[in-house]
Amino acid sequence: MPEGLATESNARGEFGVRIERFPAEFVHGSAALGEVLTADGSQLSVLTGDASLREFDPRQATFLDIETTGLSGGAGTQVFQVGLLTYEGAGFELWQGFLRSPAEAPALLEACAARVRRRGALVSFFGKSFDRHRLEDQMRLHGVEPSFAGRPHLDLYHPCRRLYGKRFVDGRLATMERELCGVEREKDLPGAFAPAAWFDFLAGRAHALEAVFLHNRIDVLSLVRLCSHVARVLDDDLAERKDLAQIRAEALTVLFATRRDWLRVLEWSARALDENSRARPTLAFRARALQRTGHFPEALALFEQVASSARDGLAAEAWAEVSVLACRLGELDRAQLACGSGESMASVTLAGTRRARLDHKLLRVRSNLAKGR
Amino acid sequence: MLNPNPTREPHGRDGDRPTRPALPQPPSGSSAAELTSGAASVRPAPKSGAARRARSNTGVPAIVDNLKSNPALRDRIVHWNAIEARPADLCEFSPALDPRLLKLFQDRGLERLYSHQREAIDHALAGRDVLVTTPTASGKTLCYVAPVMQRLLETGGKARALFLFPTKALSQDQSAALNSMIGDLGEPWHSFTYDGDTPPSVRRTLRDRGHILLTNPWMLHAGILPNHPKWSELFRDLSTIVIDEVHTLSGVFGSSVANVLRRLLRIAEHYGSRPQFLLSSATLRDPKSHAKALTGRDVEVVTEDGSPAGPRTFALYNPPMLDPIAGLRANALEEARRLAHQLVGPGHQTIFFANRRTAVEVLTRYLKEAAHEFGLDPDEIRGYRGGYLPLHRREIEDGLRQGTVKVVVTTNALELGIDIGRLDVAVLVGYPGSQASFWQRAGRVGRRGNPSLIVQVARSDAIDQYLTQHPEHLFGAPRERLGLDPDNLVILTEQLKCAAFELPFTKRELAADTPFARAPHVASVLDYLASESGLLHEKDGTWYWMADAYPAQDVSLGGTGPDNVLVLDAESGKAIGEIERSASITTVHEGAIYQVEGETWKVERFDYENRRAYLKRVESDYFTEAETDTEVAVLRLERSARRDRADAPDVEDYSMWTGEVHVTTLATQYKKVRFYTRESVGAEDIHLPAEELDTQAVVLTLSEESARELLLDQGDRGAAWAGVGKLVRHVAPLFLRCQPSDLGLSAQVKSKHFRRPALIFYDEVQGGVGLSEHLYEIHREVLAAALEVVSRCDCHSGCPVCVGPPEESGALGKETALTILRHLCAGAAPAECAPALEREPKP
Repeated sequence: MPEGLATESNARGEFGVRIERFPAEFVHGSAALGEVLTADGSQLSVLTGDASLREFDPRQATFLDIETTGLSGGAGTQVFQVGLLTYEGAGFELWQGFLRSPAEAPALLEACAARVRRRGALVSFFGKSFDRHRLEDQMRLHGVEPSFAGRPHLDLYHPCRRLYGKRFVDGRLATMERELCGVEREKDLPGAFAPAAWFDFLAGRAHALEAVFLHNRIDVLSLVRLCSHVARVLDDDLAERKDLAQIRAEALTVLFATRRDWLRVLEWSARALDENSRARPTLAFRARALQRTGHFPEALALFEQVASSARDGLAAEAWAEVSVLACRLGELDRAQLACGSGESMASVTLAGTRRARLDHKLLRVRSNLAKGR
Repeated sequence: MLNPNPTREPHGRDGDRPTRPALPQPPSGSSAAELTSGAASVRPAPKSGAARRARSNTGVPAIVDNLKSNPALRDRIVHWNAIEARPADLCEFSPALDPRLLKLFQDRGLERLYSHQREAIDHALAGRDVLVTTPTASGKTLCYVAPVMQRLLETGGKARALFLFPTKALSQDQSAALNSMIGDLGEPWHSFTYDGDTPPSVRRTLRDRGHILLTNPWMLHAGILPNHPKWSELFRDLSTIVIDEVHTLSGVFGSSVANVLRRLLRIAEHYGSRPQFLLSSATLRDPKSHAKALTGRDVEVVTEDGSPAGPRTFALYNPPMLDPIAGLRANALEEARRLAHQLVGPGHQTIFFANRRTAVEVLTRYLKEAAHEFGLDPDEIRGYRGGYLPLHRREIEDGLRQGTVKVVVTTNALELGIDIGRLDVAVLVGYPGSQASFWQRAGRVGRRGNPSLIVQVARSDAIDQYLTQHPEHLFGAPRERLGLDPDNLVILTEQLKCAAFELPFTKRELAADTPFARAPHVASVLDYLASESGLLHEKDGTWYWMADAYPAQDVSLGGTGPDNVLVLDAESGKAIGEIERSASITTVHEGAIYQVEGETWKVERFDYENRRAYLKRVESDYFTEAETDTEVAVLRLERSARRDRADAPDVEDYSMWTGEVHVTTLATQYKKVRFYTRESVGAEDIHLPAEELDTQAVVLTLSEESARELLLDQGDRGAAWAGVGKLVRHVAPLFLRCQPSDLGLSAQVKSKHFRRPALIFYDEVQGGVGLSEHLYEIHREVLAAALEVVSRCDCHSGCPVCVGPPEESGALGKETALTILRHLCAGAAPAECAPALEREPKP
């Protein structure tokens, strides 16, 4: 039996539990857990596009991570450990519920549902796609009312991926916590070995369950740190590795461009340029933002820079924008030339709807040019 | 010109009235008209051409007259059978039906019910499980749709129903009809199809909103049951399970599905529901025990068909003898092509059934090429078979319903209840292998009150020829028993894995009256899975699933599973069809000609590992036929029975054995066969891995003494031994419900394992399904039937009808085979003896 395991019981039976308390000053990776207490809900909401996170209160949040017998899902994939971390006035409390036998599942799930129900938002990593469904499946199977529906849920996977996906080898929690929060795991048991550890334990063989508890503990603590980080990415003074500033500014440029928040595109693309960004999408979006905010000559110059720096679909599209802007500014020859460059580049680089949109745009420029002359 | 049925609704072409799929096949009151989903009349589109005009007046009576008077044909029709028109047997609606439902039916022109519908609905409303076994298009759908709707109305939309169809196409048909009814009731309910084609993005919405779920056994097995918590609302209120065409649930597939149903009932029970079964099937022998084996319940069986039928004429056509010495008759497919001149025309619709896909394609091509001679356009002649893509099939089905397709050539793909309306003439190229299939195919023709014609063209093989002499086999009472063995240990073990994944097993469950408790050995299988396989964890009388795996993914239901090979256009990468893996080594090997509706494609590359074949469109004047080589090794023997010689007690005469065998099948080479002339224009080798099969077998061995007496030890007589084997293999399907192709055969004059003559028959499916076990028990009857075939055969020294032509079974083949069969049939049956293990011959 893993060390320090107490018994918790409720109407559905009993199960094992290990509780551990952390003061707010407890340092995990490069900073203290307590940093999360000032997390800014409005930033989370902007970043995720999820309005329900605007009122995010870290003091009421539940940080959740589970261990299961497999990744495939389905009724037979059991949740044998649930790690929940909450802020309890003076510090954080980590509650690790554990199945000492498969028969304890109803009691553990009941306790988990009740704990989640008592608090506010959920914070997880990939939990919208995995943890929540594994728990809900098992709860329905065992006749426990799930408590996830309608509750704000911050799934850190998506903002992390959006911000840094380009930079890191993969989007795993272990990668994110190392790169963003300075968490180094020693002697970590890879998650894939967790099912075997539990099976060994049940069969009475030598097992690695202690490592599973530790793995789950680090996962949950890292959720707290990642949450602090993500809730601050719009701050000027975000503590981060130097090389990440540029990547973050580029990602935010793209994010705000898709939201059509052109002022913020100007702001974040300027920062990206300050950080020596040469990313052409950043330039293209900046050009677009300049255009949308009425800075036509500047937009024209930047589009031309994007267009002439490579031979690809983006360049073709940039040529089209050059022709539109040149036409608007009365530089008909320049527009004419850009039209030709755009057409010839599009013919070898673009297809489908992007191509159709571009052709349509160029056609309009041509007809305007014909009228203009 | 055949009567266009005036009560049929035009199919959405009239613009001025909204189309609405009519109620599935209900009869209307006074006229009892058939309202199959808005089928149009078959009046031909006005087209020009002398041939078309000349031929457009043919109808079934004229065709029959012509066949009877044509001197070249009439002698070849060895048997005529006329079934008189039968009036409808009508009843009032049951007073227990909800008035809203009554009004809905009346609004749709349905005043009264056929007697079998009334009977089935009454049983269902009383909460009993029901099986309706009336012919195709007798309005079976109403028998389950009405009770399901009634339950929904009674419970204010709380009740849930699950419909299982053997094919995807059938569920699509039904969903539209059900939603139209629900719409007319004005209720916010939904029926939806959930299968492999359902996009993942909408699955969630469907799960949460559906009242009636239409799906197939594969999806239920691998998608729904393992994820039952996501479907907990469905299972909590599941009141009805509808299974259509239960006669297709036989063999390995049926036995697996019976276990899937056990899993389904188990999960329903977990969530607190006890659903009722409403089943339908073709006519069966002993339908009650089939339903019991399948569902574990005692069902009420409704067999009396109350729907009306027009006069039906059956003709058994035996192709002319080409070589009386060799007993060789003209090729059945060629004969069907010639008969088409009598049976096809622009004024009516004709359906051809062939038993092999290649035959469908070759005949489609022939008919298309001769289209103008029938007064038809080639586009009015279509092929249709499994393996065509869904949209392609839908288009052909529409054409048949609307009457724009005049001729369709198909396999058993159109045997089931896919709605194509009723046609006029059916041509069966060869006996389909079972009486049920024969009647399902025949049921495709016969519009209400109109005469219809069914022509079966006999092939040269034993079973077809036997039937030309014994038509009572076709028209008598059903005599085939469906092979269904849910307790088959291999199937049961695999299914128990899936069941244990879904819910833990408890000893208490196995002691109570629960679905799996009825199967023998369940506890020991679970113990085995816990201790040996390590998949389960047993604690305090409960077996928990304890593995990082999703077992349903690896458990096949048998039949044509999801393990298909995709057939792709090598240039565009687009799919043009699919084919089961087992058939792929003989149909899409490199160099094979693959045919789709008369088009020929050549296989450029076959990626066996990744199950993809890449093809290129070619104009080929030949098609290909692959040859295979099969080896059978005996692994283990179980039961055995022995008969001693009459003249010398204690000297063995012949023995029967059951056991397990390992079968290796290798595709060796393929022949290129020219269209029309069938001449061989070359052969090439095939290089593909062997298909392996572990299965059950039954073995007949002759003792050395008897073999000597029967002169089997003399060189050329050995071939007759194989002839006997082939004959038995062809006759057995009359007694077991299977196709000859479901039974494999290895005939050995000096078996390596038994060291004497042996005939090994094995189940042609992984793990076996009990066909050979069954054959072990009834082998005396089968041998007697085989003897009758040979002794009645008119040939001199063997022919394809009996033991095979002399080239195959030797100059003395027939005589030797006759002696062997007489010897085996005379005297007593062998007696069961000690476990086979102890009797096994020692080398």
